[in-house]
Amino acid sequence: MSRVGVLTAAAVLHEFTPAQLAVWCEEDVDAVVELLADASDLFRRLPDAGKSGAGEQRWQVIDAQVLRHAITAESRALPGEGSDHLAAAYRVPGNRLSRGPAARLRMAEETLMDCAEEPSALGRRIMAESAKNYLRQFLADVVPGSRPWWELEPALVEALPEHVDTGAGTVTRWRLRADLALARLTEAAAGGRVEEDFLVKTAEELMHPLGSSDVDEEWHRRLSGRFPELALCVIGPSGHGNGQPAAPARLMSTLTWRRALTDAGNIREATRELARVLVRLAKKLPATVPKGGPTYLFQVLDDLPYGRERINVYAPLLEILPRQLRYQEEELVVPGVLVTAITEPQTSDRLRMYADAVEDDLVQSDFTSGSALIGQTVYVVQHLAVTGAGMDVTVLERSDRACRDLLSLAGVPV
Amino acid sequence: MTMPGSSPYGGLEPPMWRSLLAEAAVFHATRGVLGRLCDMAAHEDTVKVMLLNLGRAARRFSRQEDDDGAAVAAVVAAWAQDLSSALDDPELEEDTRRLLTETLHRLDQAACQDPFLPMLRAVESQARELYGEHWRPAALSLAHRRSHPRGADPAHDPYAVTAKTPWPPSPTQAQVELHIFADRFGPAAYAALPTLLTHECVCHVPARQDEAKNDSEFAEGFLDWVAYEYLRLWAMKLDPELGPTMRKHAERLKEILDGDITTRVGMARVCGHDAARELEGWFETEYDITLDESRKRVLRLAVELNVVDRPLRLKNNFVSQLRKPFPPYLDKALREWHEQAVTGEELLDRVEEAVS
Repeated sequence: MSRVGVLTAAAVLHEFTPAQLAVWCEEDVDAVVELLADASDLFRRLPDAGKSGAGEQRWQVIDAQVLRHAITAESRALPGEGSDHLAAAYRVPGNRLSRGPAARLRMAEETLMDCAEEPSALGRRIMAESAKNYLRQFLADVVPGSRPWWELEPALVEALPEHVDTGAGTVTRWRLRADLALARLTEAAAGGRVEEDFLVKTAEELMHPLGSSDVDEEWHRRLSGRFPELALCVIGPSGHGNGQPAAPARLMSTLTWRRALTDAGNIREATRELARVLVRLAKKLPATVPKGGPTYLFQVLDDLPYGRERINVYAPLLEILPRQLRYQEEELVVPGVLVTAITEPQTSDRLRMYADAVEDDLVQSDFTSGSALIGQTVYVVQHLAVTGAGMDVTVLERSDRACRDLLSLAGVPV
Repeated sequence: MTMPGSSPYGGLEPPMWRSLLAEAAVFHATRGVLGRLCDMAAHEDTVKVMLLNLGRAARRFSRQEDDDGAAVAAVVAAWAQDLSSALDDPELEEDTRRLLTETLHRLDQAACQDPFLPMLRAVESQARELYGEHWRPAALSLAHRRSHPRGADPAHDPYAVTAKTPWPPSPTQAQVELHIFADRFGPAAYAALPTLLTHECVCHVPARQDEAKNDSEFAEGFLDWVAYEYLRLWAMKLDPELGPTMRKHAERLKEILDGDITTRVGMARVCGHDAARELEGWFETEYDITLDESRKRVLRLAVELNVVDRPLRLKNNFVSQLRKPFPPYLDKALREWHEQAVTGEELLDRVEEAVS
């Protein structure tokens, strides 16, 4: 199909040098020059701009329609060549086609996970949109119907059977619901704060048991880990970053998830517990915090009479508080992680200073893994305990206990 | 000129370099029969043993000799002796005898010359013309890897070689790296080298984007599909003798890589290849043009988008929408691009506006 190949390349480029045209077909430059010279009814040479080599002179298609007729006619005149030849050379095996839906589903899921590393809000929105495209296309693959994929609503997932054949295994309907919920939450987090109702609904989507024939448990673990990160991002105090969780927020979400996992004993129960915790958390976090202070590990909820405050505080910080500094625990918002307490003024000052020290250290961290953040926090907490031990030596013993507990969540044998 | 006892590639110890050089010198000299050697080795023990012996000789003489030329000459002589001994067997099948005889004659052309860099230069000359002013000069580095890239059984996956182009490139050039598992460097891996180099030169060397990701459906899927097509077009120009074998092993390697959707790069390949085929089909039906022309339209758009300096995630998002029927705004934008009313850059603007 040598001549047809050159004519086709010319139709695509419209204006070209023979050297450029040769790259788009199987012929070499000399053959292309010869062919162009012989086809003066199809191509014209443009005025020479000072370049002398035959391969560098510019040519142009005279009439695209005439050229296309010539291509069609010459393709038909070549038995066994042209389109049939190409189609045969690039035929896609049936089993490979059947892998498309499974690949699109996994691509959506991995893209959603990758959002955790994307610093810009617009970038995360684009990625969430890509993931939704793949999820909708997956729905179009498995749900018979005539509507275009981009018109399919997530609610369509309810029409699916409990187990969906992807062509390369099965996935559950619940997994798709969870994927779609994560996509919506990712998009919402990139856009800023979201309504509590939305979060509760998303959490409910994630509470249902998952199960599939491929990466179920691993996927569920990653999904469940990502969810509290995003949830904290959207329900956390505003004015900090652009919806991308800062290191202190990642610490809190990691601890929240791992605590739930440890207490529940398995991923499914932990996800249920997590959903309950997040709903509670959504009601307990302040809308804003003052600039310049700690954001995630210490928050003032109310100013009370006599200089007292109602605060949220990172639970291990209470463990390293000298006994002389009084507080009254009001609620375990996230057991072992976040506590609401009523504090005396001096107590508030000390806790604010502790939280500031931990957060300052975390925001300078290069670590991305949750375990590393926990380890880094343990180091700072121990250092703070030593400074507090001048007032109360029992701080050291309580600090050791708190740090052992933290390290066990990081998977460090203690 | 390489000094005795040294390697022109910093990532390779001299003995490893001499071993690869000696084997590659043999493969280059016999490239006209390399495809048949690969095929026959799959079911003919004599040929399989011959190729294993070649690898052993290369490793042995590369350690014994300090000089590249002496090592290559020793390997060629040892293998010629091996082939002659095999040909002495009166029970040798006739087709095997013909192939080994022809191989032996071609061994005379074996020379102590780096065959890797000329391969890159041949691919580069095509890619430079393709990308024009956007082309970024490419340098080659060679490194040894300690295992098969996919940990595979060499009988099913003989392509014990990978390539990459680290990101970001330096201001003056991109570095193309070939990573070869020398213990399994056989004729099939050699024949696949132009495919890998074409992928690097079409997909990565001239790319303008903010980051590189080996699981990008645009860079590793959509553009990869395009790179295979260019390899098919360029094969005979890169090397008329090796061309048909290049194409054959490009297809075999593609089959192997496409078979894996458990890895992230595998998923990206499937999604990107499917997207390219969807777009190809759309051009073909919407404009009533031949399959060849519709394919070349996809190629042109891919090349144009690759050099638009926009975030990779935006290009990925474009690929994620290439499923028929296309969203109305994209359908309209693609028609305008086809009619040359908008550029590739403006097409990506539309994609970004749709998300925003």
